Amino acid sequence: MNAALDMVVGMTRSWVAVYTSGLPPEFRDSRRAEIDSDVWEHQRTADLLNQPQGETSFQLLARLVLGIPSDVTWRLETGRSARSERSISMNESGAMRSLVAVGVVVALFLVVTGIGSVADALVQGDLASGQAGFGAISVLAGAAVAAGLLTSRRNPLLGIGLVAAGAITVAAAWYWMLVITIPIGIVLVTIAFFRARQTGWPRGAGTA
Amino acid sequence: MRRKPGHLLPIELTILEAGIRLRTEGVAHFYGFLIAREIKERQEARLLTAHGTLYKALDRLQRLGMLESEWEDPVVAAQANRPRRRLYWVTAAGEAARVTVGEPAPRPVRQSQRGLAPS
Repeated sequence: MNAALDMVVGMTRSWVAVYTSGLPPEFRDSRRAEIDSDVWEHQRTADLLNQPQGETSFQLLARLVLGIPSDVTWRLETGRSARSERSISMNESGAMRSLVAVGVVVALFLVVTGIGSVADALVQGDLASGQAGFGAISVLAGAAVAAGLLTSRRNPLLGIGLVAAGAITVAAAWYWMLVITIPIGIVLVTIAFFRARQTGWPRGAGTA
Repeated sequence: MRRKPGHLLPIELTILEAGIRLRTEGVAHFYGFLIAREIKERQEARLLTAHGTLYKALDRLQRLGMLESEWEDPVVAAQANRPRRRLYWVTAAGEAARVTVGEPAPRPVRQSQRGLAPS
């Protein structure tokens, strides 16, 4: 293969890589593989026909350049349709949004309670007491639950993990209220789980 | 400019025709480069259809249900020592569209003209 042909093949592949970047893998990989195959077949046929490499380079370049307007419009259309499909699949029901909001309020209650405990310990100048540690744990647990609920769609495993960790921490720290903290924790983990499921998880449909 | 639903461009019709012709010659499935070569030979063109034009048209025909496709078995491609081909074939809908769209459409009669036409 001469330098000109090398360059044109490289340009073709680079252009395909550029206009397919950002597309869902099923569109991106398919188009790249198809052009790769086409370019290979073109070169192979030219070799069999003993076509001068300069002519093959010119033909490939012409095919690349003349197709650019179609490539651009295809990219715009495919990107648009992929976005609309994703927005349909990512559409969240009002009931689920309400449940998440309630869960976040519960988590914020923990954060506020924890901050109050720490502040109280600060005011009394007794940071070494169990109250400050209890407050700090509540703040962290509440923040974990809130963050987990909010990220459970984008990153299901991390989201559910954070909610579960927060709920277990609260149940352990507030052990005298196990009858309340354990059911609430189970409910919060369930909300995160079903929120994640709406995106197609665990099959990964929501991540495409 | 938006195209009317079901309206086929000349390149799309040409692909359908070439695909059907290949099938009558015993080639059940075609791939991108093969159809480009077939079109070039038939039209006696100097250049093969541009990549963008060809694959956009193939994509649209598939979305319209006029073509179907599947990727070649990787073992077959590996044995032939070449990249996998995406194999296409014309569906019944594609054949029907080629027949109806390919034929010249009757001239539409405008409502106002119909009203004024002598009985």
